[in-house]
Amino acid sequence: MARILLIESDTLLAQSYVAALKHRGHEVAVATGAQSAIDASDETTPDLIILELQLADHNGVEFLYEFRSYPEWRNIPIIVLSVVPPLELGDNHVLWKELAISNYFYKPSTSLRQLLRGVEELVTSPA
Amino acid sequence: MQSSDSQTAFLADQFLLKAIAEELKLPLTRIARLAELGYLLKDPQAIDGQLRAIEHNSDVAMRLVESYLIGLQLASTQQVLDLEPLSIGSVLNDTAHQLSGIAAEYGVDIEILIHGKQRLIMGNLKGIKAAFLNIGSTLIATQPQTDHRSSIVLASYPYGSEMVAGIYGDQSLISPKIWERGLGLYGRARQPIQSLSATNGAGLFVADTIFRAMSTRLRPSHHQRKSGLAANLSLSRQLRLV
Repeated sequence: MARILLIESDTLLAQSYVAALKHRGHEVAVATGAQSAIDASDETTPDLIILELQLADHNGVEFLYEFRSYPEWRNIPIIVLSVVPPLELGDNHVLWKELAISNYFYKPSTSLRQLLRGVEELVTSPA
Repeated sequence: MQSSDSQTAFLADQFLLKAIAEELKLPLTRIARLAELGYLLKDPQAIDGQLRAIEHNSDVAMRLVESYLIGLQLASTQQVLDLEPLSIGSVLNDTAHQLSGIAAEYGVDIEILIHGKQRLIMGNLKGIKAAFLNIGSTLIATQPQTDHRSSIVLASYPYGSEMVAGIYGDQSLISPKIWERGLGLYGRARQPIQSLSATNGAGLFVADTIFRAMSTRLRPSHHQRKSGLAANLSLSRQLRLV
């Protein structure tokens, strides 16, 4: 079982992602903003983070820089699942590498199955 | 050759359309994921809830499209705008009823507060209803997730020769400065009102377009320690003479 922290500002969408991840046997915590994500990671270090870049209290990229600045969280895999198309991030490959983003999914066109596959490439599924 | 005014109006419309297109992705993504979840879980006990959520999200998407069309129609027929005497209390009651489904999905309570002597206002029924439904949907989706249930209030009260009607939530998300900035940025920025997180606020901008067509504006407002958006609506002139 993997401990997954889902950072998602839309609570209804979060419910679908949580249900699908739990169905595969993962333990899921949800944070709706950057600060609550930092607090949740402080409480229990996640094995994987799924991140929406469009957040209310921070820009998701700012969150990533802050998150990666803590040495103990530098190696936690992060999947970006966002309504922000990858192209809008400019030179995204440099950014992905710098922030160690494991995978980038454009939310409107990513099915739950694709997300689950992406998760299970990075952490072991118990199911 | 287009005049500068019509070019500005054309651009404003393009920006609004872009904001709406972006915003529609949210309920449509929810619908797609909920439907997929139904196949994935094959849980007969969860199906009812998923179908209900699909229905409510379809309503949100349809309301946004419908409101844009109403706004467009009102703006283009401004010379002969179909105004009628309306009871704002009755409009707010109806709005609350129509928002109850999506509010339940988000765990948000709806309250109606009608203060003072209610007088009829002049407005376009379809337009006012559409505007309040969009404001309500947006505020419901952006209420903070806390340990206690949050709520929105639909309120109206007399103010001089007008009635003020608005929708208010638990947190102050839109200050006058943020609102003005948002009005200048929609269609050009992904998140014109950053405090609204998941939504880009297209429903609010559509509502403002509708109110402008009725010669009023949507504005940030506070009511009984709650904060939201309201509009001043003119009283029916005939009834003012009575």
